[in-house]
Amino acid sequence: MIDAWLEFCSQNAPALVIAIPLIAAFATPLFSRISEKVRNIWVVLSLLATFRVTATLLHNVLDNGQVVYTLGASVPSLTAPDGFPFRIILQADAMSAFMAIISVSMALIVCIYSFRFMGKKSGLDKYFALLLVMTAGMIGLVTTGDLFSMFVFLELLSVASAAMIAYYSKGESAEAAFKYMVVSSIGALMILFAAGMLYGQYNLLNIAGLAGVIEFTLIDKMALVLLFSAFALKCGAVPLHMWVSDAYGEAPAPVSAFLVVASQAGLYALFRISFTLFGGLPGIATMGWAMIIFGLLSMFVGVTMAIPQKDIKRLMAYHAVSQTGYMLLGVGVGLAVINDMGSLALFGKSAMEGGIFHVINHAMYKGLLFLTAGAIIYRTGTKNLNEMSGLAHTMPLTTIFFIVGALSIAGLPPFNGFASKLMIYESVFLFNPLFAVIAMVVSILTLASFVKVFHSAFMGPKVSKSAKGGEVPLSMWFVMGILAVLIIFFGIFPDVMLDNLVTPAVDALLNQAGYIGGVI
Amino acid sequence: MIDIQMIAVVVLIALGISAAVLKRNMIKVVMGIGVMGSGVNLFLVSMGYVEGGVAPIFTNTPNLTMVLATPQALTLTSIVISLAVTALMLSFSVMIYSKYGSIDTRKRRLKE
Amino acid sequence: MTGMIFTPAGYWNPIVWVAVVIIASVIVFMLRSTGRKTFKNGAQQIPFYSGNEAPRGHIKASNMYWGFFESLEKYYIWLRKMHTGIINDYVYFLVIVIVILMAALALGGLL
Repeated sequence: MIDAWLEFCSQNAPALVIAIPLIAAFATPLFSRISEKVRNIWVVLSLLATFRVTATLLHNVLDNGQVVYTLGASVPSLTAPDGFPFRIILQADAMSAFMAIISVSMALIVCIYSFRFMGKKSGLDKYFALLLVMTAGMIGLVTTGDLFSMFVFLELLSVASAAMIAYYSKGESAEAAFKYMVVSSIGALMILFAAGMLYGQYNLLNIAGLAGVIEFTLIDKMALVLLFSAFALKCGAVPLHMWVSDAYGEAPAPVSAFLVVASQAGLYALFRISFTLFGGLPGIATMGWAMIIFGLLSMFVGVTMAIPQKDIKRLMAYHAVSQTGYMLLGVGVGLAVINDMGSLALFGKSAMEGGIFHVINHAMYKGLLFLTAGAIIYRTGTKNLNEMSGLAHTMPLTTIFFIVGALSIAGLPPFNGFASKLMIYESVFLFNPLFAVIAMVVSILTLASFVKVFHSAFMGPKVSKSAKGGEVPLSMWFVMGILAVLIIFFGIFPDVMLDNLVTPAVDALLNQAGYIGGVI
Repeated sequence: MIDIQMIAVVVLIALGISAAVLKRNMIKVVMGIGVMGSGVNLFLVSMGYVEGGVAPIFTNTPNLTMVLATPQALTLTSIVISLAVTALMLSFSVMIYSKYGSIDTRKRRLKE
Repeated sequence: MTGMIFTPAGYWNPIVWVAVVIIASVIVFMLRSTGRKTFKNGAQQIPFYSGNEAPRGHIKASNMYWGFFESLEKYYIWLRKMHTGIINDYVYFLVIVIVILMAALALGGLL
């Protein structure tokens, strides 16, 4: 009985990872009518179930290559009955499964943190429902093999995120949510327009199917530019990053930690479009250079805007922009040399590995930093760094977790941020030494700005406002502790992550023919 | 070969973008996005247009030419999504107006 | 679980790094324990700046890195001008990026 059930879950994993959080989301308000405890248990159980199925999917993908699932077909593997993929196809390769497992793990951590952080505020049934909708949107965005469903899941994610950003119902949070919604709906319309351009020429919406027949006409190039800039907007690359600081800064702290992963889903879509859909374009190296320039601008402008900030979460938001730059730089170098097999083998592939490795490291340490910011806000009730002082006296655990996160984001050994940054520095150095120098300078400035936060928030004499209350409740510091332990573990054993998850993901991203062959 | 509906698409999207870039009133920015969405929807529907086609309902029209069904399904989904998005943006404008007393985009508090 | 990762220029092994740090700190503590125990409480505990007693108190976040901002003033003025926080400008930047990328791809395609 159990075996048959597990077999069913394993076979239908790509559909279930989207269906479980989506169904659970709309059941959450019902359960919260019974009692708060029942609702919390329900949310955690549904996220655990999602995690379990995602882990099965990841396991299947790593063992047997990509998993293709046709929605509405009599047999899920029947992708193209007449040699033509007209149904909606979910396609999970190692890269998709890698992103999906990051999303679900962070959803679980953020959810447990939120129980005490949100406390007795009103409207929490909607909060947790939206959290689950965001999870479903992210997983859908990374597992879909269809341009139109990509648009749908992106809008699902944007709408849920915007409602979460405006949770506090202050003027500022409404303003941030309004800006976020305006830019993301314009970006989404661009994606829809590009999908229409491609559909009009090839009668296809499936990414793998399109990649097989695409002829790179002028209209295709326009579609590429529209998709590229819309997803660059979603991942917050400079100069399209302005919504990031508003949205991350005004959202509740756990939501900010989760929005980091939401931006990375946009980053995934950017990579998928550039490598899989347009990987064969003769001028794709130009887009690689565009990605590198986006990356360099994001790194430098992000960090220099972060240093003067007075709001702790806004400061961290600008750091999120800056760290996204590292990923864009690493993967962009890979894209710029994709047609040059020698350079790709020499440094391109390891630059991409560094960039993709940085994605999961960023989710961990940036999540931890936003959660420590949340802990500070929970105890002091202020986001203003000028009003904080001497928190290390009353919150020793939060201080330790903050130090771990700060050293990791600054790329100091032996934390995980160093391992991925080292790979990026050394491979980018072979591509262009100047870029590696910029990346290192940005790391130093990152350290400088976190020293500022550490000094002003944790050091110094106790002020009466922040001295109230001691450490944050157990459930809050426990999840921060999990993240801190993971950061140290993957810092000391980076090969575990690199060999098991990152290298297969990079191989999947580079294997355009394999992605196409999965459908046709 | 430029069709009249393509001109309409370009005009609608250009109008929408220019409203979003130039208008200081938040409601007008939202309207611009709505106009842009209509342009994109018109583009999608015209992609699937077949000369002399009828609505793609199989049971009613077994022997006639039909317009393509997929773009119509896409357009329907996109209209529903843009409805939700517009409602959300308008409710944010209401919240901003009640807290700031203004829906001028330049009267923002979040900057730098 | 060896901790070893390979980069184009060599390799990185955090376990070796941690071992070296532990050995180095053991040596430092051994050297430290050989020092004289003549430390006195009182005057020797007070930190000082160039002969004067150092000002006690907490430096607020906005006062930090004053020299950095002073020397990069022009850059920061330009940066502040860019980050207006007006939603129209956000959309405007998106339009500019699309135009630039279209031009870049058109030129890159010709070359």
